[in-house]
Amino acid sequence: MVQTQDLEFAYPEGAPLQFPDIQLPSNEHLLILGPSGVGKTTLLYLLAGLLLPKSGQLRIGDTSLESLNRKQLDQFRGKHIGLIFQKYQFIGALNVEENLRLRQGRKAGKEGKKRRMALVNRLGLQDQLHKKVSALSQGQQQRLAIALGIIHMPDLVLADEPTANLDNDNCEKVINLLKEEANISKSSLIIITHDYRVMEHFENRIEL
Amino acid sequence: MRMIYLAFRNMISKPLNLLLSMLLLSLSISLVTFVLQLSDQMGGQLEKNITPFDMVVGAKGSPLQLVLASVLHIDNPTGNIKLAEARPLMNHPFVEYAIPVSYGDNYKGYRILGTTPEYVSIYEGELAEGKLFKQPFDIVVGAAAAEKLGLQIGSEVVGSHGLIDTDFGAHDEHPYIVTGILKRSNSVLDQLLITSLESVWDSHSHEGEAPKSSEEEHEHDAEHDHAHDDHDHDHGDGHDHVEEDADREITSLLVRFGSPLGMVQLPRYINEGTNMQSALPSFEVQRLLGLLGSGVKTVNGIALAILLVSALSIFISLLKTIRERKRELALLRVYGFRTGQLLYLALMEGFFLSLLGFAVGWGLGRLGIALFSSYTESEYGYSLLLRPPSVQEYILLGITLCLSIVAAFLAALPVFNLNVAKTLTDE
Repeated sequence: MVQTQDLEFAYPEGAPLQFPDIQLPSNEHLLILGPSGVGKTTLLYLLAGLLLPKSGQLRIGDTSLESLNRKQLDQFRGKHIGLIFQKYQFIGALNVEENLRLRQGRKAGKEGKKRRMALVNRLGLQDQLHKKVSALSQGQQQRLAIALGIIHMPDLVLADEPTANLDNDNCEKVINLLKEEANISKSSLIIITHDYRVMEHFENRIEL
Repeated sequence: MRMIYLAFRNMISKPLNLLLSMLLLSLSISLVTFVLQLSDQMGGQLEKNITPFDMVVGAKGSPLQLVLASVLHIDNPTGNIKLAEARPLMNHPFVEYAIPVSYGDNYKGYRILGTTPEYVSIYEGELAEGKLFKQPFDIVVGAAAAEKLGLQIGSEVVGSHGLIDTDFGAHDEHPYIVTGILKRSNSVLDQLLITSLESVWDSHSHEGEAPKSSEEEHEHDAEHDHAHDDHDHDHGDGHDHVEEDADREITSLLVRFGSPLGMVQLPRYINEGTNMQSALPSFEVQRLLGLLGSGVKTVNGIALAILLVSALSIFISLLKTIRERKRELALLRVYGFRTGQLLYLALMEGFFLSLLGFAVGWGLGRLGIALFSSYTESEYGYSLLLRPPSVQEYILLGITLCLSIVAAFLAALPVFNLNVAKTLTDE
């Protein structure tokens, strides 16, 4: 599903960052561990096509990202990749359901609604659908962020520090939730974190 | 979900910001539309009311006042003229028609005008019910006056002296009887109570006596009727009298020239050769509109300046919201939206903002017209209509939308350089 080779990236004023090769088959989960500042988030953005590598190859499914132009990249990302940010990001003017529908895009129709309702029921957000995002509790916002990363059934879900600031109980819950949802939507899952508590939940691990 | 919907939700998500950026726009739009409507309708009504007449002949004084009083029924008359002196003009070869008008009385503030039935037909007045005045003290009421005064066929109307409603000086002895109500014609007719000249004369000259019987009048008229056969024929009315012209006074004579030579010769002849003065309504109204026009230009200039400032304020407000929503825009890029769609989002928000601001401003402008209309109606007997948007207003809408879209485009330029990864990472 995800294949990288000799991936290298450089910020304009920084030293080049080199990343180990990744080989992740479909529907599998991968944990990328590393302390702060080694370029974990950079790798995540490279995988999401939000940053372009200086050199190296990056394939997601059958698509090699460097062959896409900007517009195609936007479309590819919208359709095939789900991102869950460390700092949750929503559209403030829309309510919970509208945020989800926006993410579903063209697939928000009848089938999309089934998918949406099933997902919010599993995540315990069914009573929050018509609330503004800012009215949700921290935990609800986290679950909504997960929902937004996965509702469009992407091939690859990328989660950036999903367990930061969570206590042990909640940390475990969130990890399980992510894995369950990735399995239900048949997505590959890559979690990037410096939180060593989640190590035991993953067989595939890469340390930066 | 459509971008358009998101743009709309974005716009209404902060009502106070919305109000602030709309305020200036609405203000300028309401000003422009109010003034345009006002000058349009005023000008239109004035033009319409003076069209039938080329010249007014009345007592010496201000020509503008003469026109305002006799044609537009706003001001007080300059005085009276002798019917005998005006008579030759009525049969002058250069004159197509000449209609004498006489007044001095009012009923509850609405003017009672003594004239010939021709006056009604010249303004294309049609009866809604009843008939025109035939007998002395028959009176026909304009639509607006009838509605305001609650007059119906058969109602009795007692005039008071003067053109302003007062409690004293009513002619108790001679009530007028309403015989007809006119349809609304959007001309001076709407505001008038119209009767025959004789009725006005009788109510004044025979104060306290019983009105002269109509038979008696007929006898008197007989000789003159022969002399003025043509004239009487025009009027188709056996009462158009000529009685003792020497005693009779009218307020003014409204003249339509039948020949262009009339315009050349008659005004000068009247001003120099008689005790009367002539005034040309079109000239006087042009002068008046010229004065009005410079006021309109000034207000429009101010409104235009406010419109430009409001475009600037929309620009600043959009620039601010786009900065505030930078992370959301980055998020939209993550969701697969293209830069062009983000631009579209910003343009749509600007578009809605200006559309809403325009609509509110237009509504306020019309509200102003409605309020102003009730004032002018009670003060001058002229009312303004609430009209659908005019061509000028559509043009104004176009200008507003273009300005705001340019403002929105400039404000949205930063989306082209949006660094998604950096924006999402930055705290």
